[in-house]
Amino acid sequence: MEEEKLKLIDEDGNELEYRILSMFIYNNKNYIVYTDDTYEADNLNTYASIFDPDDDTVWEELTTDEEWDIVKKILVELEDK
Amino acid sequence: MGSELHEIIKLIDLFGIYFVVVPYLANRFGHYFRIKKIYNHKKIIKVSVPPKYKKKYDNIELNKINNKTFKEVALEFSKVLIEHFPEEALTNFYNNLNELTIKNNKLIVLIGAGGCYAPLNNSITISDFDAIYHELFHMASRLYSKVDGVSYVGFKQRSTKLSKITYNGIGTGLNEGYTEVLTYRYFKSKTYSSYEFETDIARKLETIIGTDKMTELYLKGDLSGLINELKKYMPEDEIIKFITRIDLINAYEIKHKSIIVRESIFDIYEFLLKVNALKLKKQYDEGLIDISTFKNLSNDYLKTFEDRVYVSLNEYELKNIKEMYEIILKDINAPGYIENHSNSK
Repeated sequence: MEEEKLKLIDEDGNELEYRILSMFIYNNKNYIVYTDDTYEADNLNTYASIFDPDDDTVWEELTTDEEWDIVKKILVELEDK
Repeated sequence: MGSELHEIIKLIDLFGIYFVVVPYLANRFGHYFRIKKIYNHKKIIKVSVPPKYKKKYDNIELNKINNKTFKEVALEFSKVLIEHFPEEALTNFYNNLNELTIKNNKLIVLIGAGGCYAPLNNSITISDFDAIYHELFHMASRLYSKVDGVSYVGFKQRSTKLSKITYNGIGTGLNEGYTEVLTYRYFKSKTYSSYEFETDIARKLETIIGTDKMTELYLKGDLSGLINELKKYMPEDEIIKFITRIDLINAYEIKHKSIIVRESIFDIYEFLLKVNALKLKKQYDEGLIDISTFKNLSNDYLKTFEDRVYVSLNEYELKNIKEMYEIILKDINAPGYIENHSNSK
């Protein structure tokens, strides 16, 4: 299966590319879980953010424990697969 | 190692820096995700995601749902389905969605229901909010033909010309089980304890049919398609017997008659084990897998069958699953079986 890529452009014009692990919707917000494929002590660095499919300038951080709990559950399920 | 590591995880989490997710299988596979809550890039001014994540939901109106909370949930449900399932599998969903009504009615708890879906009216009634995603899946898989008077909801099929009191249709049990599988998979909702057995059977069947195929057949309301898939391995009368055995267990009044339930569980298990063995044998005969893979996959599937089964909180013990499986392997001339048993004589 072709890997899905997330591309971000920062305020300096740098293009950053990540591999998408998962995406989910919660409380009408779209969350994306992704990695830069780097490792720390054999652990894959994983990130999660909020985006808006209708506005490509929206990029927000997760702020609640609830949101992070869902991310964790998704990663556990990915492991189970 | 497990409890020690969890204590470390709790301490790290207090600092909110990063959290090492150690799934319970981690010791077997040795792979970890390290969630990083600190964002080490500059302000992002543009985001680009693959097209499938940018689908528009213009066709969703939900005009018949007046309750704001129900409307939000239905919209969330819609987005998840559109994201995860191919368009060709969502015809019933699109046909039903904008005509759907959702009501709150605590009284249905008197019939032991947290929610119910009426396919003739395309309406959901809820007493327990957690039930809503389950009922929305019924809506998404509903096809009702006024001409021939048959309603198809997932894997359940029922003629509306017959009394609901005496005939609830075929495929009810499997349908409830698979609806629970999908509800939990996509919405993490709590599962109904009264469908625990049906859910387990649906998962086991999905292993044989394949996730994509089974989901497609479910959303299309295509029980006959599911039967055709199984006919690759078993005759139709055995398949119908399998489906109606699950219906028997699902029927409320049967749950407390243990002999009937025990025999039905045995028949259901035997069917699944045989179909899986035949499927693997076919793959072996076609050269797709070798004998070692046949044995490994075969044993892995057998391990998913517990000898203690719970149906509506009643426990049943099945002692002879392994022996039953040995007989199946012998009957189908499984690869390696005859050779091993000839050598042991």
